[in-house]
Amino acid sequence: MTGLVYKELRQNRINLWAAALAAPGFLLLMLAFSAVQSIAGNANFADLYAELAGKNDLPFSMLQFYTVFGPFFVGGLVSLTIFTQDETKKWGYFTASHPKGIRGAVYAKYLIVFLVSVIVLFSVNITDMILLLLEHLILGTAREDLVSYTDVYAIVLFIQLFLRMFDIPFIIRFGRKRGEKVKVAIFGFGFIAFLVYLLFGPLPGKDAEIFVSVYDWYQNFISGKAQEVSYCILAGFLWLTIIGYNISYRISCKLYMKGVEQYDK
Amino acid sequence: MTNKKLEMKRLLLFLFFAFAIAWIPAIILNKTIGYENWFAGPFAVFGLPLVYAPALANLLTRKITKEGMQNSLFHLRFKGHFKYYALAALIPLVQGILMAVTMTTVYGHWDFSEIAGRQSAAHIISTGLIVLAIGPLFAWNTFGEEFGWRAYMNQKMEPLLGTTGTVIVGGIIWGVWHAPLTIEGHNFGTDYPGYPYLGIICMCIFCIAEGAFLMWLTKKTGSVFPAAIMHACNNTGVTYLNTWLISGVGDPEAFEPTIPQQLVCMIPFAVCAAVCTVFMIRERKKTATASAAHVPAES
Repeated sequence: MTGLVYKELRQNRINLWAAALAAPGFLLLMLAFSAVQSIAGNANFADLYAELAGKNDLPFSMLQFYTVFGPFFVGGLVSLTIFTQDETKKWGYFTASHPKGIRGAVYAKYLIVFLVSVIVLFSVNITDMILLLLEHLILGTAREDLVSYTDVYAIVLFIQLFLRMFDIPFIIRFGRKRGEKVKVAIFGFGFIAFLVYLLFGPLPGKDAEIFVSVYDWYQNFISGKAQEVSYCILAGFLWLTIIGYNISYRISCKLYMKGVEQYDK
Repeated sequence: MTNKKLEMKRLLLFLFFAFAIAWIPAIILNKTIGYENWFAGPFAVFGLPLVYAPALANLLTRKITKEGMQNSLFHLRFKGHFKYYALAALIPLVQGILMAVTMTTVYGHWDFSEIAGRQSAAHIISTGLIVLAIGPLFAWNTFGEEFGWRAYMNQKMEPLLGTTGTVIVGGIIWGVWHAPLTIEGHNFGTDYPGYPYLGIICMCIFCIAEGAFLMWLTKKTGSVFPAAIMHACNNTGVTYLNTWLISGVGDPEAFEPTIPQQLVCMIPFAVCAAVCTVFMIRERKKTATASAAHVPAES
């Protein structure tokens, strides 16, 4: 198993570095942009930084959005490329023949996808600390007013894993390019079927009461009154992701050889 | 140089690095920008190398003494050890429950209407599930300590001091290492009789009990990661999730037990840690007997 994980680490070292450096990279890029503007005499650096770090009644500033959520997007792209490198028949048959077999190879892939997310989380948390420092030094924000979203980043990691648990079996069964198309087609069909049901199907309650109750719940949710329900939903989502990721791995193991048969070479 | 002498030299070098890398910047930061500003404030990024000091000490000692990276315990060993990973997240929860039950029994009284009226079962369960799911992700923050203390210090110390000696001496060293924070009031505040010595002693006792579990997890799995997860769950508040179990002490959020009270509440957890140590001693004896008889030990 160590060998398979090591192979993945070697093969994906550039991807792992990309995941690790995305957050500080985005931050440097944005700071460099402000610095160039400032040197060119267009505006004061502190003013430009204040503009980037200003929240304008939103929970996140533009700087936080790009340096924190951007890297998760990069991590998502990176984790999908992990599968393309081994899309050859020869490797597929070899994998099936070695002692750890298909389970070992698929396990290593799932582990690396998770590792990419953890690396992004680590890098984002450190970048967040740097952002807090810059906000304190440049804008003079007091310690008590600095806001860190460490827990939110962990939830974003779960959202990423939630998306991957659907992506990976499709990629393994149909290959990277076709897998994406098949996934979009299936989910698109499901979404249209759901819309058609909402329009013409029998709904609980009279006169679409369900929409009213969903809207009421949403209003309570955003005003913080439905804290208990939102905690239950969050807990359910997190554990659904953990269990779903495991089920996704088992499904991928079963689909592996069918996917190998479809590779071009 | 004999093997024991070499191991002792490595251990002392590791301890020198672990303390120097953490203490020198911690003392400077405490004096210049203040503990609140670097530990959980805008200067937190400067505090990051401190929590990684034991890991850096591990790597430096290995490099200087040309030890290499054998027995680094830097393996996941997830397969076949899932139960220990689950235990790593659950032990702090049990620890919290034991402390809460003792606190209510000794210093409060059992008032189930107060407990039931505080929070709904759905809220308690969902909060617990959230913390248990997210807590292990913060192992990146505690890995630095565990890669030093559990993955290096304990391994070097056990052949020299035995299992019990490692748990006790290792715990004391780990507790003393926290002194720059304990002095600043991180764990017990600064307003207590015997400050700061009593706080440091209490921290050492806590580290001995906690360390026994962390060492047991590390030895059972041959991996440093379960220990990092348990440490992370402990830090992210799994232990404090159980304030809902405390009753008869007024507002449990506002109730601040004194150091002797905290020590009393820790007794059941310390007993569990002692049992854990006995398990480790028995297993070590079994392995030693098996290797002496040239019989492969049970994995």
